[in-house]
Amino acid sequence: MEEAKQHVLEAEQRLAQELAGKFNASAEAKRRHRVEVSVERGSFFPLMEHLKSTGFDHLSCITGVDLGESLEAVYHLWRQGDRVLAEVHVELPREQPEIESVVSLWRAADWHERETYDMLGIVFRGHPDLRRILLPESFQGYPLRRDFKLNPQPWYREGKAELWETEVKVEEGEAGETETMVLNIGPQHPSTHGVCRLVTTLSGETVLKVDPVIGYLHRGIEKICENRTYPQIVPLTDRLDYISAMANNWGYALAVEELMGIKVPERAEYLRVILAELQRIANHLMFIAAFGADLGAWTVMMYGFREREMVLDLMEQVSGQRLLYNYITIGGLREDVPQGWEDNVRIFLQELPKRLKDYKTYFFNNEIFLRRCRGVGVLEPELAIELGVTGPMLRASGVPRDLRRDEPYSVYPKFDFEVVTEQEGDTLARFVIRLREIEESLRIIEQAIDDLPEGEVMAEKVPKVIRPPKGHAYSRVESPKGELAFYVVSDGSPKPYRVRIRSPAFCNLSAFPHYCTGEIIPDMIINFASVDIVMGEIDR
Amino acid sequence: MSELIWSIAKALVGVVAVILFLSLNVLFLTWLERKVIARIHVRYGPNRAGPFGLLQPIADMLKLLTKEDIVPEKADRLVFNLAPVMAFLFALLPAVTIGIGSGLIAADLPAGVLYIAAVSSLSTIAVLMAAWGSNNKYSLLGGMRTAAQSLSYEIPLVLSMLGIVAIVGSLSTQDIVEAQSSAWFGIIPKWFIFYQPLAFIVFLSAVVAEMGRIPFDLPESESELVAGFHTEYSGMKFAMFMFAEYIHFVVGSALLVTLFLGGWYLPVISPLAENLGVLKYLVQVAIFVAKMYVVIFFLMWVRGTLTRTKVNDMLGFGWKGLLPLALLNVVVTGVVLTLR
Repeated sequence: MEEAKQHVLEAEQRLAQELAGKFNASAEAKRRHRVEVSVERGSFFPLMEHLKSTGFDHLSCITGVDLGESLEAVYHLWRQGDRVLAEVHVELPREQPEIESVVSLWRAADWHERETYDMLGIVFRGHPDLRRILLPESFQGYPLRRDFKLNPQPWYREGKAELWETEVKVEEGEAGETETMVLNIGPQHPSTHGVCRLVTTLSGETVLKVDPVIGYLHRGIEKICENRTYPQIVPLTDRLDYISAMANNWGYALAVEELMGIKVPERAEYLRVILAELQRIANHLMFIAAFGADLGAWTVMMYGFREREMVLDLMEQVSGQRLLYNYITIGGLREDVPQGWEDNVRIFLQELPKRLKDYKTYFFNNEIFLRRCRGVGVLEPELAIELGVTGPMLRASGVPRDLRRDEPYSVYPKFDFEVVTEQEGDTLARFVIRLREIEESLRIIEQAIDDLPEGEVMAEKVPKVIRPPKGHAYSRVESPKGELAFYVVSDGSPKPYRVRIRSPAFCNLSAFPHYCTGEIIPDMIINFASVDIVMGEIDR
Repeated sequence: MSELIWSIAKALVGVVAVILFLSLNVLFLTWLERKVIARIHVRYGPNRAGPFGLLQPIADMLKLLTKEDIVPEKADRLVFNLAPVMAFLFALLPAVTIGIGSGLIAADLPAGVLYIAAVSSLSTIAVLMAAWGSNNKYSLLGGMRTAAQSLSYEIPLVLSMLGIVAIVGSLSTQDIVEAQSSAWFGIIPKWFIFYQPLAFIVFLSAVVAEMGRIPFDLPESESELVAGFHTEYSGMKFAMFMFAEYIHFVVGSALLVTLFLGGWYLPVISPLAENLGVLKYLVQVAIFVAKMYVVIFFLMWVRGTLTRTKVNDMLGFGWKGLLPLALLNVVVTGVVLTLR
């Protein structure tokens, strides 16, 4: 075991040496599956090209960090072959923070770069459409720079509120020609699942172009994090993807635990797995419910909520909360589960499969439902990878990527489960995959609850005031919606220097405009619903 | 002269009776629909206003009456304001030729069925007016869908009634019910649903489309077009659209009962009631209303079960599914009638 580990690390060192030699960079194999590279601005783009050509096809995240004297852009890239995550740091001068855009290499970079520009003012040369994404165009300053004053000051330029300024120009047709129409779907619309706005260009009912406008729910959580102590951030993470709060808690706790080098007791790990899988079930049930509502099947909506209620009850028993749990915390769990909780989970495990059977009967014998979903919004696997799509949506396109298996965290390797995939990549596949994932989650919970060890649920050496050593950590978990990652930078103080949240729904939504054109409105709506977005997580 | 006055008075009484009948049913229906759908949804539905929430429709009405009446700034005011009134009136029109008992009919037109087919497509105009007058893109899309939809179901609807007309040899709804008022062996009713099963299926589908209910509620499909043609309406104008919609629901169900389910005739009971004098009308009305509510319940059940179709599927279903079936039915009926 130890030998194998050593061997694998060697592979990473080889990669690090190769990169360091070729691109005049400093690179080190930090730990298993993790290579960290610092590169000069000049050789940045060739390095990225090299990485892309050597199989790093998944751009996980782009982060900007204000280092005080200078700015820094951090790229996280991943390849499935040897499961190495490359972390590329580039330092940029403060007075001229410019860097080449990597959109030409990974189209997933599009929104990430826009956000980094929006928050830190890093300019990406060659980006096709570099404008603010979460904040309105009239916003002044870059809020995630350290010198940004939070005190009352005119944040917005003079003039009328320009929240609606992101307009799409309509090309006037010739006389007798069909004109296109721009329809603003949202921000208040029954099927935008929150306050998302889709600027849709229509020709009749056919969608020519979609431009999602987000940021209506932007609360600046990343900024707030810089002003809170480490444990105080856990409740903030609840409010990201508020229908799978446990997964968010976990993702953040993992990052801080990595920084501090905390080993979580085994019982806590098992319980975390159980809770995260329960949360996945709740999230997917919610997805089914909302999907039903978008199809006009309100009964499905109610059924989904009814089943989700059982999970919420279990969550309430452990945390006292039904939606925002604040339960998984740095070093373990807030407290142990109440007596008899395991039995309640077992009852749930027996009950849910019966209900799922009803679901299958309902959906798969319903010709109208099948006709609506089959062949709608087909996302090709290559495109999905390039656009940074993760989670069930990617697996529905036939790409078997799942962090629980590929970059195993916690005690996932101990359980026997399948990474479910569907081949079609259409809306139906994205629906079916969620139903099947619920079943896999049930399997995991069943195994975990049977082997649940006794013991503590909180690591012993967690101090009262958490002051991680200087450094940074990037933790990734498979949240119900995809790859959820936290990049936490510590400067040794009780407050994090920078917290970056890579939200799965943000990336999945950024992919949406690329494969829905040419559809009619009803198709686009269910296609959009199948992305499974939560605005709390997208806008942060 | 006195004859004219008499006939005007009779017509007035008839119209008032029709409106009263429809209004009562619509009020009850809004409550019933919410209750039934709620039970299907594993909810309770309205249960605060009055016993079993029975006063809910009145509370709803009061609420809508007191709401602010908003007219969008850029709306075409005349068209916008006229549309709900038209929708309401057009919805009432077919109701006058539906008898709820023998002789209990506002106007027994000799061309009754033809008249129904003619006026029932009028409501499309009201919807288009609302869609255009609102100056709202969602409304417009909804209106366009209504037009497309009405084209594709109107023809099968009319054709599916043709078989019955051929069998009865009359267009009057009274005659059609009379023709169904007997039974084999005294228990199996000779309803047209047994003679014309194909026409029944076509008619049922088309009439659901006309009502604009799930699975064919495309003109106002909530998740896509917010509320379709009545997105911009509020208060009483919105209420009038809702009222019109429920009138369509009642009239459509009543039509279905009249054409295919024997109207006010029920084997065993109807012959017994013949000797009750005036009371027999009460029995007839009761039978008719009961049958109507069976149909209504069925349609609510459909709403609670199915999902919405796609707009192109709906059109395909109308043109490629219903129309050939309806034509086939006409041909088969014709051949059988000629051979007999």
